[in-house]
Amino acid sequence: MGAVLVREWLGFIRGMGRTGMVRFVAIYFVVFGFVLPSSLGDVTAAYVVFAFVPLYVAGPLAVDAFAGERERNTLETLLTSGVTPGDLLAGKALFSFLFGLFTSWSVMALYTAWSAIRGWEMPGMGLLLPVMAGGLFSSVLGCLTGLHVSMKARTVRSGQQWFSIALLVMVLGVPMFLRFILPHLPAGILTSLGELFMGGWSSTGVLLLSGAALIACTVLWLALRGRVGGLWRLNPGKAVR
Amino acid sequence: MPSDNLAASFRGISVRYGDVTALDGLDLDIPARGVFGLLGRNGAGKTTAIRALVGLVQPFSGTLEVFGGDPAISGWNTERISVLFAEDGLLPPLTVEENLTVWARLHGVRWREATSLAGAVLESTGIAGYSGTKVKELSTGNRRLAALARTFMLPSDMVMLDEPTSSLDPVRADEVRRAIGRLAESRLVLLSTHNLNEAEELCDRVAIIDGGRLVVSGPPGELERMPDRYMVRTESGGLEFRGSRLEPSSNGSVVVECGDPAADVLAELLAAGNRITEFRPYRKNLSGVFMDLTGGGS
Repeated sequence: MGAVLVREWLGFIRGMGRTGMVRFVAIYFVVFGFVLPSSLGDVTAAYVVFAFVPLYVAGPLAVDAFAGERERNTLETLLTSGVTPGDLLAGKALFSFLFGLFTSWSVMALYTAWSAIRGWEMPGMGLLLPVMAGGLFSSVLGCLTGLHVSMKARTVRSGQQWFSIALLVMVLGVPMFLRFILPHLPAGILTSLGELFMGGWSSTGVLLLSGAALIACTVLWLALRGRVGGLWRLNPGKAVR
Repeated sequence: MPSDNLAASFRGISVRYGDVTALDGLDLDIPARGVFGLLGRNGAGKTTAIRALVGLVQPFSGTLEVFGGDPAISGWNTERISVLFAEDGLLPPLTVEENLTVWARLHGVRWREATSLAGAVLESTGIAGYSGTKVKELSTGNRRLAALARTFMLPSDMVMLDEPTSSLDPVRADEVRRAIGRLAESRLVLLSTHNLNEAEELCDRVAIIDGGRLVVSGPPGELERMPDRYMVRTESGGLEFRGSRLEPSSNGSVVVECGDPAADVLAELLAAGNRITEFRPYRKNLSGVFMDLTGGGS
């Protein structure tokens, strides 16, 4: 797994080049790390942005994991390198997850330092810790969703298109669904739901949501483990011998 | 079960990609030593045969054994087989040395040893001067050499090379052929190639496949001998044979097609009054045999 991780890291860093590095810093550290949060005018809203950053970093990296190998004609050789399916999947997943998490936490740290210098409102630990946990979760989610897309996609471009749809569902679809469904719920249920979230980040509701997220990620991971062996079959189909 | 002197054995192997049949009941024995040439036209099934040997495709019928195991079940035998596909599989943004070092790491070799192995193989392949160059900046020929260096880097019992000298200049191609010859002293080199001169020069045995089936297999020298044809020259040029007059070709010889033994044919020609100056079994080079057997010739 370590060798796959190093291979991913070298391929990413060397492949990005100076222009790519400038673009990466401009997008994630300037736009997501400064312009967007500072324009929201509210410390909580600003920090929630950092929890979503990994979706946009880990996801595309994960999409490239197998689709990129296919497109660059390196997958066949990689499959004959002696790496096991488990190590291949773990190495690729760990790289995109860690890079997404690193980006999220580092832009948050930079923004916090900038806020301190400028004398802006500082976040308490009650906000920082959940945002860090949210970043961790969205990194896992982006990585696993991206890997699922990557296993099937023939090219990086088609993978990115499918991932964009998944991203839209995750970022916009869920809030829109809640906004549609909540007004139609009976008042009693709404009150009960509201009570579940009394107590803020340590409430029963948050714990239940965290549990659901954990289960969802576990299911996604197990499904990936079940699919990765199929990469070694260039002619999927049933053997009848 | 292949015997000790066989590396692999295909028995009725059929492989499909969707509705396309790439191998259609292939029967083929591959010896454990020497250079074995896999020849065939585009789409004949050469690459699929290589993929089957490394377990990357699932045959839907037949049995395949590689070093005593079924690669579709036991998977890739990384310690015994090394392969270079037509696409070199190198990572373009990495340097040549990084590519080779990472490759060795994937095989479980420690970093320090991997670096030293990479240096040694680049030296022996003649591209040590490019070790720090990014693969995407290499010429096509040097890129091919880098991929060959990666293939030769780790010890193995079977090396499979798909068009190894394509895009190399004649000097480099010759060096690679000599390297292949050296490799073949201690292991099997499976060479898939369109270069029939190369196959003739390097291979101890060749197999010609067409439409996913074996057409013929054997040492190139035997394939080039056509036992039912004889080349004859006479004083007059033409030839009387079994009541017909055969006219000479542009090079002055006449090809007699006849399944009888050479001594009987010669006696018959002399008895017919022909004044023969030369009589020998008709030989074609491998290219001619290939063209005849795969329908490429007239």
